[in-house]
Amino acid sequence: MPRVVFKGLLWSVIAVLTLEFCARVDDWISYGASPFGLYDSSLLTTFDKVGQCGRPNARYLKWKLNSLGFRGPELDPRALRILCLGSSETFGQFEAEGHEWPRELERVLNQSPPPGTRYQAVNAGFAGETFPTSVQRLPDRLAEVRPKFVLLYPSLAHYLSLPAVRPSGPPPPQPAFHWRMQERIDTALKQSTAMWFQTWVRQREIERALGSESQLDNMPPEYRQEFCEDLETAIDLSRRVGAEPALITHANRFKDRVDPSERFMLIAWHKFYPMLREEAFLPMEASMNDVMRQVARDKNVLLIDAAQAMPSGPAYFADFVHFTDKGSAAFSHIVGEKLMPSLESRARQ
Amino acid sequence: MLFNSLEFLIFLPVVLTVYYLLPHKAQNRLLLAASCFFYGSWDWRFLFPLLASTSIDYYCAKRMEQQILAEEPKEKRKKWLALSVITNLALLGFFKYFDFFADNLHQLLQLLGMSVSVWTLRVILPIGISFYTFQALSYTIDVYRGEIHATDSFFDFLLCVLYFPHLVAGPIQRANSLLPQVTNPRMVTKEKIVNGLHLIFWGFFKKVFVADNLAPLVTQLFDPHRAPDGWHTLMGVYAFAVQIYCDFSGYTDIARGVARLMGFEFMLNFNLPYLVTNASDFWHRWHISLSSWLRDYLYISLGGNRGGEAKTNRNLMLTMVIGGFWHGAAWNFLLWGFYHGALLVAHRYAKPALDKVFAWPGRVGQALSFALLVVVFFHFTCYGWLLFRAASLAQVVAMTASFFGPWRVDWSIAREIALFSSPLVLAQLIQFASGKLEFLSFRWISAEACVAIYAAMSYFVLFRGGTPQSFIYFQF
Repeated sequence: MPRVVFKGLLWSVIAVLTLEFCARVDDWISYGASPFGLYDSSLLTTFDKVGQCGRPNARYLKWKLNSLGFRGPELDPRALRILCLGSSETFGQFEAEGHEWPRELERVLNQSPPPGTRYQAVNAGFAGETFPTSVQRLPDRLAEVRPKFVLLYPSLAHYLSLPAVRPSGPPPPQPAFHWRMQERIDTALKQSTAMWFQTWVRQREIERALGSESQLDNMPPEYRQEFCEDLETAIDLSRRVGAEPALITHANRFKDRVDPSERFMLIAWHKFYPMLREEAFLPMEASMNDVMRQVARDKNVLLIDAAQAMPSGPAYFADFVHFTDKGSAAFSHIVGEKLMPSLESRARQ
Repeated sequence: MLFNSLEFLIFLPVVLTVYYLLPHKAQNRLLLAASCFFYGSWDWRFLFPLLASTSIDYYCAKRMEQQILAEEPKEKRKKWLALSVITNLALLGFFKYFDFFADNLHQLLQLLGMSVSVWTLRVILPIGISFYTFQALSYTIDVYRGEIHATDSFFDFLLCVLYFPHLVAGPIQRANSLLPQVTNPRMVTKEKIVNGLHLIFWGFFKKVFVADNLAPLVTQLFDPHRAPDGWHTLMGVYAFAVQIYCDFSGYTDIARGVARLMGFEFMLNFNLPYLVTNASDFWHRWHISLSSWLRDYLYISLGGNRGGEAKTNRNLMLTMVIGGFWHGAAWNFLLWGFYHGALLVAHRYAKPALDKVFAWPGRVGQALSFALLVVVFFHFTCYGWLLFRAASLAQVVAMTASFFGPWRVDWSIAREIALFSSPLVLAQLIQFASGKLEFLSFRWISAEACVAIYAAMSYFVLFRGGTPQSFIYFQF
């Protein structure tokens, strides 16, 4: 009996080590990652005076950052640059490499540019970046990129957890060893778990996170006001350096109503913001987009109403707000069409 | 329910667990119920044509058996055989070929300037119909020939046809091999379980890692809307050659492995088919259950090689063209069958000369001449795959012509094919050199090394598999 147990243990150890070895070789072949040391999404991040941001020249899976810590290629000195600010929707989450919306937009704009003009859409969005921190970093971004246009595509729900998303402290310590198989197994388990079960788990997590606290019915007015001020600051900062700002309203998978078959995705979104009632998500988006429309009117800024123009549904959104390749292409066309006349007049100047 | 689906990964352990707890008779009933569930999971309506043809075949075989026992002349049995053959072929013809003939008739009439509306049915093809039809036919033909006895149990016969591991894409099991395994108690030994699991692992690896990863590349290279060039056509046929082999032999391995877990033994369907030097060898090693079926029930029935040169050639051509048409109701499958028939006939005449030219002296000479012939014949096979995979005859012409036009060499495609094919090539070379198809059953590979190899294979199946695709042969 002890012999059988020993054999079983030995075989298990061999299997686990082989799997880990394969994962490391796979990372090395597929992404050029070192087989030794850490290889996870933390490779993409560093910390500046404001908080977490993109690490210059970092690479992880499909994400490749340039020397400024922005996703995409280096700055093109001869191009007319458009600075794209936002969160993970802009940085690109589910799209294939090169299909994040700023890159798609660049392709759209360069299809028929005025003679001698080339546009470059600089993706300064970063996963987890909130609009308040984007605004704090904006002077530096403007100085680095020197854009002619600034596209603002803020993630609205971040304002719900505003105090928590203020500049964070020093980066958390990295573990000495990290099982690369762990993330793969987690993902595989998640993918193979029935959706009803995932939803049930998410609902329990929401309940647990909420505890005895009551939920909000909408974005608190003081946060809406703060958003309004952040938008105005971003517009003023851009204009001060001669860049023309444009506001893009926030699009989501559901648009005006949640189809019952899509409720699981609303719950997935809710998990990130348990403080808001489930039914209040779409009204919250609508009220924040109204703030953007109002600011655009007041400050005479180009408004691209993607929230209205974007088609809804799973073909365009991989989850609640992040685009699929098709969604990213559609979004870029909407933005490109509205932006083109202003860009052309800028290029002529 | 695909083998490479989560549903099957739940279905199989549940069936196996109950199966091991039951006595023989109850095991058969369980397998019958499980097979109905498995087949019905695609579309429960598919069960009706299957049950109809199986009932008629069972009845015909019973009547022929009675006539044999009564020592009536063979001529009298013919009507029952005819009924079975006509029923099966009528079903196949209706579901698989009706629209093809109707469409072609329509086009012909249009060509002749007649505007006639031709009735097409657009019926859904019941999955696996070509496989179970041939399997049932082999039963009635064997009973007619007196080679096997008809079974008394309808349920045993039904299980023979319906048994889920081989139902939808083979291997086409002969009744004389499968029926005794159904009627007699089966032994499930530790060795069978280990071998079965090995086959399942290896089958999944070939299907999920190799075939499914190559599938998008093949789709792209065979895109009828792109202008082909020689390099892309060549890479397309290389990739498809590997894809179709891994897809189909992967399915077969899983089917054979699953059957072994239940104590059944299925026939070998693939035996290193690309390591051959001529068409005759190829058909002894590729889809063996179909090629041997065609040989035993069609080629021999047509007269085989008994009527002189011309008739032998005619029989070969007819057998291969019908074999091609069995794959699908399209002209390119007919052309593919014709092409392989021509290769077989050509080989009959070229063999003496080839044997003379390639009789290089010494072991090294023999090995080199063999390798050269393998490479040359692999390219003949690949051209056949072009005929098989092309979406239309126009694409066949365009892709063939592309070999003679400019080549836009792109090594990244070759690298991608090499990356996914290399484990297969390595395994096949080991199998070929050792003469053992189950290459992990060597004594010199320790159990620990086997665990490591299976773990590595599991990694590539679970985490680096391509987008799940249906098995190519399901469409036939």
